Amino acid sequence: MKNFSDLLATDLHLDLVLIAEPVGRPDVEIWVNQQLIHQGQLSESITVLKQLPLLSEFLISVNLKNKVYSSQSETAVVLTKLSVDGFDIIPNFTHLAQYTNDHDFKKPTSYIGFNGEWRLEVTKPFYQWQHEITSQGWLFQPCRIMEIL
Amino acid sequence: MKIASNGQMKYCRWSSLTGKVTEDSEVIGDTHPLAFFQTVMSSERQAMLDGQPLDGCNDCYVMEKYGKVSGRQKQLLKTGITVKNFAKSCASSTFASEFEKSLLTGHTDLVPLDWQIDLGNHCNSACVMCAPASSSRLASEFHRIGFIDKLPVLNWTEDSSRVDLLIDILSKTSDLAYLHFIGGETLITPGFKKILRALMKHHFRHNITVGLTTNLTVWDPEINHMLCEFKQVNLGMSIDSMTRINDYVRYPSDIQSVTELMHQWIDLSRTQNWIPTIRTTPTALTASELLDIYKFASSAQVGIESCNFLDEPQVLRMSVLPSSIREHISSKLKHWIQQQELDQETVINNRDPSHVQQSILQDAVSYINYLDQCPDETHLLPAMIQYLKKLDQSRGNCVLDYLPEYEELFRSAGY
Repeated sequence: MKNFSDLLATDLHLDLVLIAEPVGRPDVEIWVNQQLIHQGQLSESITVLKQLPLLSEFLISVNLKNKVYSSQSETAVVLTKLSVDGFDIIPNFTHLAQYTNDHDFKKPTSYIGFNGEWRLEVTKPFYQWQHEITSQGWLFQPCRIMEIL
Repeated sequence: MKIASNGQMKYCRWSSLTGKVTEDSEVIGDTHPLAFFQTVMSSERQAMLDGQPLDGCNDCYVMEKYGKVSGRQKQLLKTGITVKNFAKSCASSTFASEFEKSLLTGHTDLVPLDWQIDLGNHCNSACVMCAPASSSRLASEFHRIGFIDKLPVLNWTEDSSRVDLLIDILSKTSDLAYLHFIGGETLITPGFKKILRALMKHHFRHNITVGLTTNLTVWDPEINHMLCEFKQVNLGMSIDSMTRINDYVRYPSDIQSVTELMHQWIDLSRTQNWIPTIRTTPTALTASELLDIYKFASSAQVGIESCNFLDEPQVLRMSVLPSSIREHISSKLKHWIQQQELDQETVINNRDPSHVQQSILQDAVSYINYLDQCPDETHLLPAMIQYLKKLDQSRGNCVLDYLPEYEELFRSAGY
């Protein structure tokens, strides 16, 4: 890429890596945006490699289902890696995920041991989101209207 | 965008003197600042979009070469662009669609959100590494001892109509973010109070951050009171040594009162939630002082922002020092760095309080790199001595009183 015109002509995407490891044989659904990546019992580690559009918002959702607490107390799915373009979201930004579960467990975690959904939403272009969550300071917006304040 | 001491408008606060626009450009008031920003700057904007390096960016490229965070990197970051992930972050920038609109002609219909305002060269200091364009006191001295033929006229803020024009534009910029002021000595430059008083009449002051650099010789309660009215203050404090060497290079300061004022500023900053930063201009005379400055910044948890590697005056560049001295200074810095925890990730936004320590260490590493790798310019040593001798003669001063460890070196070069 030599100039901005080249940049516009280049198809750029994000490289997502998600690794989920089972503890026991959890019943798990893994979604990336609207696409179901895995559904059913997870018997071994799964690595999700996915390309996402550069500027799109995206949602990663991991659901633990049908866990019977009395007989499967240790059953869980553990997200050991979640990165975008080599930027590790787990563990440094795990607190940005929402974990809704049947035990009302609220602490930031990537260990999903309760029935429920762990979801991470990136609600703006990834690099703008990354700028914000890593405290990079100002992110100016174009300003063209001269307004009398 | 920048307004230089003489009122000339420049495309970047960091652009070096070799840059096309910086050599001779239009003066605020003669040309409307918006016309300059939107149209005159088109050629630079177009060159950047075309992937051409600008001459004015040279200082920043040199800084990056030695691992120093450059102004270019800091400015890019404000639009979400990182050098590390340039293509993707550029395409993701909040300004990407604006870049596209500027592709054909370089024109934009945006307004500047971030200004550097050089108020003039009104200054009570005559720092040895400064220039007449930045110090009226040094200019007078240089004129008296024959270094320059005539005194520069560099105080555009004395012309009220030009100041009014600037205020008018600022007051009409809805998302105005940052105004950074430098002098001369900012706090004694009449234009600074004039602009602050004008801004005080506008409610938008609560939404903007003001930055300023001071030489730590002035304390003005009226200015401090006005500064408290802004959203945030980035306070740059100029100091190059914690010892009397500072008195020599930042002539005619007094290190005791300088450090007292620095603590006063730091205390005020803590109270007001401002961001204090130490601004150093390391030279051949103060290279050996860097470690103490870093240690102080680290212990006080005050950020450090050294200028670009000194370009002018050439004779005071660190590269004028013999390699044995540079290696000695570098090894002391390395020893200190080894005792710290240095992250691999580069901190560009050194204003974030949580990044203070890393940005101090990063800056130290960049000077280690520079001291180890800069081109040898020891041939300039005799010229440095001639320069210092002239200044010492003018000031009744003697550099060796402050730097006795350099006596042998300086004597051998003609002191």
